[in-house]
Amino acid sequence: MKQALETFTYYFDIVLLVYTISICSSYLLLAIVSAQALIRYKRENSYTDYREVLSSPLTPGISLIAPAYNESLTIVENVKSLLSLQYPQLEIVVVNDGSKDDTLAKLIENYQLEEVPYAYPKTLSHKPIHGIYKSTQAIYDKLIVIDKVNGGKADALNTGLNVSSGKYAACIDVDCVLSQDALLKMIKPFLQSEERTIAVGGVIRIANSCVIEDGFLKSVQVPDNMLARFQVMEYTRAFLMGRMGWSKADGLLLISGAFGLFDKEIAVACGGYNHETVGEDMELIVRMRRYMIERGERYVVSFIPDPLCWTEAPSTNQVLGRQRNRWMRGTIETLLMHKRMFFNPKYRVLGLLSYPYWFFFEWMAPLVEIFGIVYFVLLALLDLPNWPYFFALMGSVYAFALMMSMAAILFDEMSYFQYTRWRDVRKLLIAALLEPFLHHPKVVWWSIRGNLDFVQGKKSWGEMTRTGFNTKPAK
Amino acid sequence: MNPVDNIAALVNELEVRYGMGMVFIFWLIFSFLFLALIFLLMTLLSRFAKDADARFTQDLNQYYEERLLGLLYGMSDHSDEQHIEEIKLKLKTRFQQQLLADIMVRLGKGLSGNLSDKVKQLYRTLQLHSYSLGKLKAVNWSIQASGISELREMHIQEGIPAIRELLNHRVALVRSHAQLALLELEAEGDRLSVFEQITYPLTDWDQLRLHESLKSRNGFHIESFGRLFSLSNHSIVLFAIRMSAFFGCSRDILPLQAMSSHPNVEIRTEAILALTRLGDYQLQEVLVDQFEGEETAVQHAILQYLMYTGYDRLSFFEQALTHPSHYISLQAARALAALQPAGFPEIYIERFAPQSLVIERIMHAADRRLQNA
Repeated sequence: MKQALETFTYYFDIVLLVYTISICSSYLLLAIVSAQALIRYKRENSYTDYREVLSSPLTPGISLIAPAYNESLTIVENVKSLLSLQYPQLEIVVVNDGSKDDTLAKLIENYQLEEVPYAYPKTLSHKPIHGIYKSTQAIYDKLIVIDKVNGGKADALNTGLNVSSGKYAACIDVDCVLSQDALLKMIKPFLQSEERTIAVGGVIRIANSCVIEDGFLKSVQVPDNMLARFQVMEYTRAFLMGRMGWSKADGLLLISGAFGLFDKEIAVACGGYNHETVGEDMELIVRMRRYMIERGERYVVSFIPDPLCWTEAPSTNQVLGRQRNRWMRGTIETLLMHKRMFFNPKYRVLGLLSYPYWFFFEWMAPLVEIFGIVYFVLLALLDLPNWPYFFALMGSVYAFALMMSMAAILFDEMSYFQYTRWRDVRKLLIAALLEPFLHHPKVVWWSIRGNLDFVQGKKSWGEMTRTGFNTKPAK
Repeated sequence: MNPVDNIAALVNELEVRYGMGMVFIFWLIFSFLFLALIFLLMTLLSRFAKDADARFTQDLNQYYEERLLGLLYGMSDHSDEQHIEEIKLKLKTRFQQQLLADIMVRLGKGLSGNLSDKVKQLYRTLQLHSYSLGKLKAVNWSIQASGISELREMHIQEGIPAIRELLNHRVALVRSHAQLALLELEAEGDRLSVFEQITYPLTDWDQLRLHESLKSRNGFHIESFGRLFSLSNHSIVLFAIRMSAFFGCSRDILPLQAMSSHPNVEIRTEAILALTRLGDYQLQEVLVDQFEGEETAVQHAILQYLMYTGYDRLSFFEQALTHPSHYISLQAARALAALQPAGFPEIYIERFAPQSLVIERIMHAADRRLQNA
């Protein structure tokens, strides 16, 4: 019996070692590719004059679609901020997704809206529309408000896609703060690529503790809240050291639902957002890419590293837990919906690298981690662990995590230098040192809960309570 | 013992007590922590460098700007020669040359007339044009691109042959800058020759920038883009058609009419849209005949052409109202709304009563508040 157990632990240790080396190597490789892509992007765009886009009649139209559900407190300011974005041919489509509060009434009152007989193509299915509103004031001419029966974010976005008239659709969370030139920068990859660009994603940054004035970001600071600070580290690693690299390798599978720009024709042709998943943002990108590959059409999905979209990160464990649980469920649902891509050479980088990466290192990693802990506890009960090796291995994992976080701080420093104060560097350094102990175990637990909820068939989003930005009122 | 000896002793002890595996893990931890430390130091150094650079650049900027403004507006007691000599004193390194070049390019963009010419003249006097020309020979493509940009802004025509060499460069950014520069630097009558030398497709971004450049040249006018219509590079043909429309080149109407039946869908569509913009109305019947077998994009363009040129055969638009494409049907409804036949929209609402989608489109087209929607 003891010999069998020893044989098992021997082989199991090897499997774990190979897994750990693979995951660390993939992070390192992605970081290197991301660094190259970031340097190239900076070099290519240092002489770009985005004002040219502003005055050109050749600039294509963008419809900015913002679903709103119970946003009464902030909707007027949020829409005001969207209306003042710099872009010449812009249409703002706010979809009131059956809010129970007075979101619609506030919009009607503040923007002097009235119902109009607006005809639109019924290409994508969605819950019924009560009415479409336009402003009587010429200054709000680019605003369209749709009032519909509640159907969730995907349903609201599909409604917006149907009603919108722009060639490109920017899908955003209405409470995000966009930099004024966000659309000018996002449209560039669509215009400059020789192949058809079907989607562009941007970096999402954490706005907690930043100062927002009149709907625009005025001053950037590292969050005071430790949980939000850990998320700054996570987001920097994920966007600047992950997605940038995947984009360069033509394997990007996710553009954040908080802010993405899409070729509307392709998004609609492949069926729009899927109502059946809570990870509708990832699922749409995977489906759009499959659509192009299966038709043999050449295409590009781009990612730009400019900090264009700022969002409030959850600042309590309860809300963050719900968010991570949903992300995990969304990942699993998307991976299962597109399982035929798994190691399928027909899908090139997507099938051979991206999908397996998401499967093994995004879905499986927390499961492997929790399994490792259970396994270790059993070994400890049987008095089998080799303690010096245990501590040495734990030390190496911690050192690796620390190295990646330091690289993330450096990436941020060398790219867009967002946190200009010395004390911000100190705050980030403390977060990097503590994250593996204080934050990572919770993330693993929430992911496990996501797996369990997925097995139980849970489909809800979970309520996302926000505390609000650090704002200064309009003068 | 020094730190290296300490580490060697530790490694030895680990090997003796726990074996080679532990030594490997030790080196792994050591490497990760070492790299983490390096990254941290790089972050701190970068921050120090940025602070120092900002201070240094600010001082130098102020120095150059004071003297340049003195030269441009005669704001001090010094003579021009004195100002120039003072500037030259602090113009020895590449960093200083680049900083001054950037300031002068920025100044040039913000000024017009005599002052703008004076900046360009000064650029030469300070030998910065040689600096910019030298950048074209750099190995680094981003330096080449910035060199081209400076030569364009400062209108240095000596750069034309070297820039022409870079017109079909492998890097899109260099190509884009070269196209713009040649368009602006070539002699008046020879400007469009740039397009005949381009072998790569023009991206939408290139087209947008080229159009902006053409627009911003005061007194510069092109009467026809027709010589580009026969090129084999379709992206240039499309650009030329669009430019004909924007610049109102009525001379191009005849060739554009011929292109309304071009085998390429995009070219056909653009040609019809350009003719609409140029106010041509001679193709009405031809396009009506062409409508049935056309692609949706061309059909939409044909409906626009017919609407803006006052085509008044109601039955044609009425038939198009029931088209399966929402956009075609809506455009037909708009054309009918523009014609305002008697009883519009009520008689159409009655007539198409069973077809709710058609009625929605008629109501939309009839509503003045939705003219631009």
